[in-house]
Amino acid sequence: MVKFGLIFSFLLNGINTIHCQESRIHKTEVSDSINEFIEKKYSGYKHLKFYNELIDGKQLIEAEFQQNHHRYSLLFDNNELVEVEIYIDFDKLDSLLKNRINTLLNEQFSSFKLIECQIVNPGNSQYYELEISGTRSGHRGFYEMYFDKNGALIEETKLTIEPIPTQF
Amino acid sequence: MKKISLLLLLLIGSSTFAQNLTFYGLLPAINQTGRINSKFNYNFFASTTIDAFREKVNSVEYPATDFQLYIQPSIIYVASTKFNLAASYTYQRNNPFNGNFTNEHRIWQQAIYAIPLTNGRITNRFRFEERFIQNKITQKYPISTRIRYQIGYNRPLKGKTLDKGEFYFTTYNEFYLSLTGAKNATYSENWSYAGFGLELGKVGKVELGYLFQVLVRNSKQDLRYLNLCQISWITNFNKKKSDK
Repeated sequence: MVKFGLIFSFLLNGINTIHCQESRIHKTEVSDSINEFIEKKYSGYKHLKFYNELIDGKQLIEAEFQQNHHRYSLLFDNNELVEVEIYIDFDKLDSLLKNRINTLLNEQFSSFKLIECQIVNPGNSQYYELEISGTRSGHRGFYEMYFDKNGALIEETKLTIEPIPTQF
Repeated sequence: MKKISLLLLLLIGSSTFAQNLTFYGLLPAINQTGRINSKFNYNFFASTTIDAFREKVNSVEYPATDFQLYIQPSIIYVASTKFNLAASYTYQRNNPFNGNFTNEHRIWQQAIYAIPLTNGRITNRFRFEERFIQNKITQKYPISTRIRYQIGYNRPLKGKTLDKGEFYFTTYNEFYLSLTGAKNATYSENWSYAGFGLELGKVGKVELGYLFQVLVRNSKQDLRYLNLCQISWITNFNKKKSDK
């Protein structure tokens, strides 16, 4: 998942090339304040994993875990939470929002299939990220589409899918 | 006591008559992938299998030699992140630098289904081959068919994605089942591989691994074991990840 909020701000600033690099780190390498924040706010979490994220030279910490059958991804900058992503079932969205998004997708694609849906930054700056496999002008492609909390399209990115590598 | 004697006789007998051969060698390979359009990619894979050591088995000399030259261009249809289809014309030359060489022209079709895991990915590959192997006596190329199933697993060793300067692990086992045409056995071959690779960025990846090939080499079901050190250079010209 591309860290859209952070990346979007870079795009607005005119930086078009995003360099992301991540590596797994142990819980003990993460500050107490981050660990305590997760323990307190997301008690009962499962499968917690931490990653060092290097996004355009900026060092961030990503925490991934599950709670109540939802997958979470939190992004911290200097111990401060900067982004929350929750993987959710699209059908569980508000029906008005769901209808608006569906209408827009039906306008954009002759046929489409929803692969994944996330709520990003639940609260004031909330938006939705959807991964779509869709057909447009007879060509099928993969897209990341971003919607605001009213269901308006903010941005879309066409994804390039790499072949699954094998030899012989 | 009689039973033990019989068992011993069978064991001794089978070791006397079994003509299993074991070789050790190198397998350098190049693997290049590039995009044709958003749906189709091409792949060019080439390798050579080198038997690195001279051996003498049951008074028969087996000199160090090049066993095989393998050239495999293919077209890949990327149906989704999890499912790919591919087809190829492949050329294989056995004993390429000896007078007793044989050519093989091969056409194949395959499907790969990947299962993403929290750590890494499992791949299932089914391949159907139509083989045209040269008969040196008749100089004809009779058709034979074979099906192969490969189950593989690969994962980056640092984090979720493979970044420049990071290592990855890859392994697979492949079962070869000969269906029609000339064959020594139905379950005729098995390949097992495990290797580690390093992502070098624009230059591609280098991978070093151990490949163990078992082949039924004659109608008596004698086997040929091939222990290979495989070194691969893997490049992908698809640099751009997404289009805005």
